Amino acid sequence: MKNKRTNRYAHLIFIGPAFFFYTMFWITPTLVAIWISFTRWNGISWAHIKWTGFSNYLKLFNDRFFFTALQNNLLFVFVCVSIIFFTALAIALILNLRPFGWRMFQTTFFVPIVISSVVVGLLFKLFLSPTTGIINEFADYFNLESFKNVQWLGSKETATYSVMTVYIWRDLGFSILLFGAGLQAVPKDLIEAAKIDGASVLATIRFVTIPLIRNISLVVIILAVTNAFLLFDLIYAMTLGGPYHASEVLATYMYYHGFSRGQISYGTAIAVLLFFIVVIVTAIQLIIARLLEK
Amino acid sequence: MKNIINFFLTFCVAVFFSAHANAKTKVSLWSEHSAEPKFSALNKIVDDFNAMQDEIEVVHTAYENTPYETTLKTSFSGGTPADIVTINGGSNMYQYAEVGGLVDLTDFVTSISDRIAPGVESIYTFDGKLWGVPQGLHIGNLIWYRKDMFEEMGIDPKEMETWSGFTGVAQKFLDAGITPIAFGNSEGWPGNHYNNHLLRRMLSTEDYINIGLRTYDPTLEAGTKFNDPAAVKAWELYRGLLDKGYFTAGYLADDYPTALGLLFTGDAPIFSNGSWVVGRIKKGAPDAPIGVMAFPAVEGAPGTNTELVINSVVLTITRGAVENGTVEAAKKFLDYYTSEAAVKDWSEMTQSLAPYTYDTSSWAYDPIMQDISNIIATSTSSAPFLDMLEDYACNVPHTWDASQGILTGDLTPQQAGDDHEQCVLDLIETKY
Repeated sequence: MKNKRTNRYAHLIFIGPAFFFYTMFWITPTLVAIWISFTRWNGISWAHIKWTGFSNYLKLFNDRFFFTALQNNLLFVFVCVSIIFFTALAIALILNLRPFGWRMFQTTFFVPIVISSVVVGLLFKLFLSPTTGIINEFADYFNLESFKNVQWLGSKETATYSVMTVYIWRDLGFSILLFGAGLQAVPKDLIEAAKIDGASVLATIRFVTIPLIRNISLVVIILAVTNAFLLFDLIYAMTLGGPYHASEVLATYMYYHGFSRGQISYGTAIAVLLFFIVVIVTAIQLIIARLLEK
Repeated sequence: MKNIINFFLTFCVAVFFSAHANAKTKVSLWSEHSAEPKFSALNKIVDDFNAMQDEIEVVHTAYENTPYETTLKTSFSGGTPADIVTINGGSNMYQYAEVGGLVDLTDFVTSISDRIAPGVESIYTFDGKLWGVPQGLHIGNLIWYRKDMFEEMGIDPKEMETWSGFTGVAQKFLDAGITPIAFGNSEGWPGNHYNNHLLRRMLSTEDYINIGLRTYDPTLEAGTKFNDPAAVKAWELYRGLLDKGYFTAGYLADDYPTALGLLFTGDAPIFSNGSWVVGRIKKGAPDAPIGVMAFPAVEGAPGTNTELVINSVVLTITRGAVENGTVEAAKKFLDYYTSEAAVKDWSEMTQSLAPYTYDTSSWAYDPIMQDISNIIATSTSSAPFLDMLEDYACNVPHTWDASQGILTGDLTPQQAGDDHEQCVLDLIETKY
C-alpha cells in the first residue's frame, strides 16, 4: 500500500525541479509581462507604475510603424518560408542522390548555420555598403551604372528585401539538414519498388518520398514560421529596423520602444501581441497537421 | 577542560572583533567602461584610492555599453543598484533622480564646486538639486577635415566658420568631383547630431536648453517651439546638404565608423562629429593629417560658433548606498575622484577633456586634444546635447528617427517639427 502511494507521487521528485524553474523563469515573467502591458512604467521604479488598461493596445492600432513591422513579419513568413521550404527540399533531394561533390555542397550549405547571425549581418552590411562594399566595387568594375551607389540597406525600397535574401541564405542550410535527415529515414526498398513498378523519378518523389517525409516537412515549416516571426538579430545587425522603420519587424520594434525610447510598457504590449501571434500560428499549424494525418 | 573552552571562546571573540575592527567599508562601483583605455583608467583611480587609505574599499565592476543600461534599470527596479554608478548625464540621469533612485548630492557637490568647470551644471542638475559629479567631457559640435585635401584645393578651413562658408567649401569639393561630407546615418544619431548642432545655432542658449528640458520641467517656457520657423530651419539646412549632393553615397546605409573611415582614407574631406573621434584617429589613422574646428554658425541666427554642445558621464550615488549605509564612504571616493590627481589620470589615459578647473597645460595630451582644448578656451557657453535634456520618449522618434525620415523623404522639415512639438505636449499632459 505504502509502495503504491510512493510510486504515485515519485514523478513529482523528478518533475518538481524542472517545473519550479519553468514556472519561475518562464510562466511568471510571461504573466508579469502581460500585466506590465496594461500599465505605464519607465522600467526603473515599481512605485511609479500606473494601470492604464488597454491604452497601449489601442495606441498600437494607430501606430503605422507597428503595421509596417507586422507586414514585414508576414512577408518574411510567406516569402522566406516558401522559398526556404521548396529550395531546401529540392537541394536535399538532389544531395540525397549523392551526386559528384555532394559532401562539399552539403558543407557549403551548412556553413551559415554555424556562423553567428550578428556576424553574418555585419559582414553583409559591409558587403552591401555603397561606399566600401564589394557590390559597389563590382558595379564600378563592370560599369553597371544602375547598381552603382545603391543603398541596399539604406533605401526603403530595398532594405527589407536585402535582409530577406541574407535571411534565406542563412536559414536554408538548416532546412536542408532536416530534410536530409528525413530522406535518410525513407526506406530504400519502397523507392526500389516504385522503380521496379516503372515510376519516374518525379513520380517516386511525388508519391513515395514526399508523403514519407511529411512529419519532417511539418517540423521545417513550424520552425521556419516561428523563426520568421521571432526574427531580431539579423535585422538589428543589418539595418536596426531602418531606414525610418522601413525594415522593422515586431521583435525589433518591441526592442526599440522598450529600450531605445524607454517605453517598457508599450514595448511589452508589442511582445505580448507577438507571443499570441506565434502561439496561434503554431496551433493552427499543428491542427492542420493532425487533420492531414487523419 | 573549562579553561580550554574559556580560552577558545575568548580567542573567537577577539578574532571576531579584530576582524571587524579592521574591516573596510566596501563600496561598489558600476560603470560602462569595460573597453580600454577607460577600463584601466578607472581601475587605476580605484586602486590609488584604495591604497591611500584603510577605511574604504571601492570595488569596480564594468559592464559593456549596451547591456549596461538594461543592467542599471533592472537593478533599480529590483532595488539593488550598486552604491556608485556611472550614468549618462542629462535626461538619462534625470529619469533615475525623478523616481528617487539617486542620493541628493547638492551639499557635497556645492562644497567642491570650485573644482568643477562652469557651464556643465545642466549635466548633473535636476529639479534644482545636484545629483553627481561629471566624468570626462566631450564636445559634440565639431567639424573634422583633411588638411592635405584642403591644401591641395587651396581652401582655408576658416571659410567653414559660417554655414554659407561651409556649404561653399562643400560645393568647391563637389565641383572638383569629390563628394565632400562623409556621412552615415544608419543608426540615427549622427543625423540627430546635425540637427542638434544646427538647432543650437538657430536658438539662444536659454531657448535651446528650455525647448528640451520642458519634458522634465513643464513650468519652463520655451521661447521657441519645435514647429517654429527657427527650429524647422535646422531641419531644412540639414536636408539641404543631401539635396545639394554633399553627403557620401551611403548616407542612410553606412554607420558612424564606416563614414569616419572615409575621412581617414581621404575619400571625403569633411566629417562632423564629436571630440570622441580623437580616440578613433589615434587607433585607426594616427598619421592622417586631420584638423578640427567648431561647427559653423548660421548667419542671422543668435548662436555663434563659440557655443558648444557637450556631453559627460556622471558619477552618482544611489539609494543602494543608503540601504547599505555607505553614502559617506561613497562621497569620499567622489571627493578623490574629483581631485586633480584622479582627473589628470582619467584625462591623460583616456585622452578626454576634463570638466574641471585644473590647469591642463602640462598634461600629456595629444596635439589634436590641445586644438580641442583651444576651442573650449574660446567658447562662450556650453549646453548638453538635446537628447540629454529631453525625455527619450520624444527625442528618439523625433530627432534620431526623424533625421532618417527627413532624408528618406517620409517627413518634411515642417512635419518633423509639428510631430516633435505634439509629442512634447502629449508627454507633458500624460506625465504631469
